Amino acid sequence: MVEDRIEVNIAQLVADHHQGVYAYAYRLSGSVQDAEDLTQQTFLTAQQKLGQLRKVESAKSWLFTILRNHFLGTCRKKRPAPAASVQLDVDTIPQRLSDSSAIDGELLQRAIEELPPKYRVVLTMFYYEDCSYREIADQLELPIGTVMSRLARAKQRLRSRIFEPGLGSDVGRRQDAAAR
Amino acid sequence: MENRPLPSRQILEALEACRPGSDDGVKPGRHQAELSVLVSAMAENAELARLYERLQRVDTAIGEAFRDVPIPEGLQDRILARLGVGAHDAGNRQPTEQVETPPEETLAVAPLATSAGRFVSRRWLLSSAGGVVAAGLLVGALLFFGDSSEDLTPERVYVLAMNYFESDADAGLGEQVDLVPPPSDYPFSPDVKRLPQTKWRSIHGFLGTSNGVAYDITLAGGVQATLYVVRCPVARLPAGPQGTPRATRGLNVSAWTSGPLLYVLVVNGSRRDHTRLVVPLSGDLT
Repeated sequence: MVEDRIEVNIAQLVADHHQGVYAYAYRLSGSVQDAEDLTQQTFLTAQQKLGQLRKVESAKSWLFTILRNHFLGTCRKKRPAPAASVQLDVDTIPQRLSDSSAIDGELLQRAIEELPPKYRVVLTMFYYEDCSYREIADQLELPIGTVMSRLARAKQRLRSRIFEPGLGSDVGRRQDAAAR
Repeated sequence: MENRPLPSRQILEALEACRPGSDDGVKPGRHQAELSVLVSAMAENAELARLYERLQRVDTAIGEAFRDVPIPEGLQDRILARLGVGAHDAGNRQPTEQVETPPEETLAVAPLATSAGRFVSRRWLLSSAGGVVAAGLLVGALLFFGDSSEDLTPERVYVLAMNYFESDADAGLGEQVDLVPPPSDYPFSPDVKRLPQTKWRSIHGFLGTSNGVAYDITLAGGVQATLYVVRCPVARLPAGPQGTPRATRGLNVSAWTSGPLLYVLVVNGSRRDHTRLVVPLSGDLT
C-alpha cells in the first residue's frame, strides 16, 4: 500500500528554490557566508527529511520553515540583543517614497541585523513571505498579540533606521508628545 | 485635529499588521478580527486613513527591497555538490501536468506555489500559467470526451476531477447548505460527513456533464475539499467512498456511484484528511 507518497527530486528542489532560500537566509543572517551556510544546511535537512514533504506545492514554505529553525537554533548560541531596545513609535513613516529604489539595500540589511532574531524572523515572514500576522502566529506557534506587537515594533524600528528622521506623521509625533 | 484622541496601541499594531497590497485593512477576513478595530477607527479618522495609505506604499517599497538580494554565482552547484547530487539530476524535470497518473505511481515535482490548501489559491491558479494549462487540458479533455460518459473510466474521472478542482475559480463562493437548500436532484452524499459551513453551487461542464452541484467543505485546520455531484454513470466505480483514495498532486480523490449519481470527492490534503470526511461503514466486518 502506498501512503500519500510523492517523489520529489532533491536536485529539482534545489533548482527551484535555492535562490529564494538564499535570499531569505541572507535577510535573516546578514552575511553572504552565513546565508550560504544556512542555505546548505536547509537543503541538507530537506534531503534527509524529504519523506516528510507531503505536498510539492508546500515545498517552498517547508524549506523556509527548516531555514527559520536553523537560524533560530544558531541564534540561541549567541547572546541575544535586548528586546527592550525596540520601541513602538509610528513617527517613522515617510510622507513620500517613490519606490523601492529609494531604499538603500545595505542600510536595510544593517537595520534588519540590529533587530533581535525573534523580531527579524517575524519581519522577514511579513515582508519576504508575505505572511499575515495570523499565519506568522500559526507557524511560529506564538500568540497573535505577541506577533502583532513584535511586527509593529520591528517595522517601526526598521523604518527609523532606513528613512531620514523628521519625515514622520502627525499621529506619531503627537503620540510621542503624549508619551513624554 | 489636535483634540482628536490619539490612536491606541491596539490600533497602531493593527495598522502595522496589514500586508501591503492586501485587503487586510479595508475588508479584513472573518479570521482577522483583530483588524476590525482599525477599520472602525479609520472610518472616523481621516488622518489615520491617510496614514494607512502611506504605510501601504512604504511597506510595498520595503517588501520589494527585501526581496532584492543578489544571488552568488555558482550557488546551486555548490549546494548540489554538498548534497552529493549531480547538477544533471535537476534537469530531469517531469512534465508539470501529468494527466494519467496511476494511484500507486509516485509523483514527480509539480509546479510549486507559495501557498496551498485555500480556495483563494485555487482562484489564483486560474490566472496563473499552471491554471491556464490545467484549464486548457480540461477544455481539451472535455472536447475529446464530449458528453459521452461511456468513454469515462475511473482513472479519467480522477484526473479530470483533479484538473477541474485545481482550476475551479468559483470554489467556496456558493450558498451555505444550512441556509439555502441545494437542488434535490444533486443531494449531498450520505457517505460524506456534512460539516458546518458547507457551501453548494451549481457547476457546468464537470466531466462533460451539463449540470451538477459542487459542495465546498472546509475541514478543521483549513483543509479544503469539494464534493462534486453529477448525473453521469461510470462503470467500475464502487458504491461508496470507503476504498483507498487516489493520492497524487497533493490531492486525495475518491469517486463512487449511487444510483444515477456520480460523486467525486477531492480533498486538498492528506489521506487522513480524506478519511476524516468519509462516514465509516456501519456493522462488524465478520
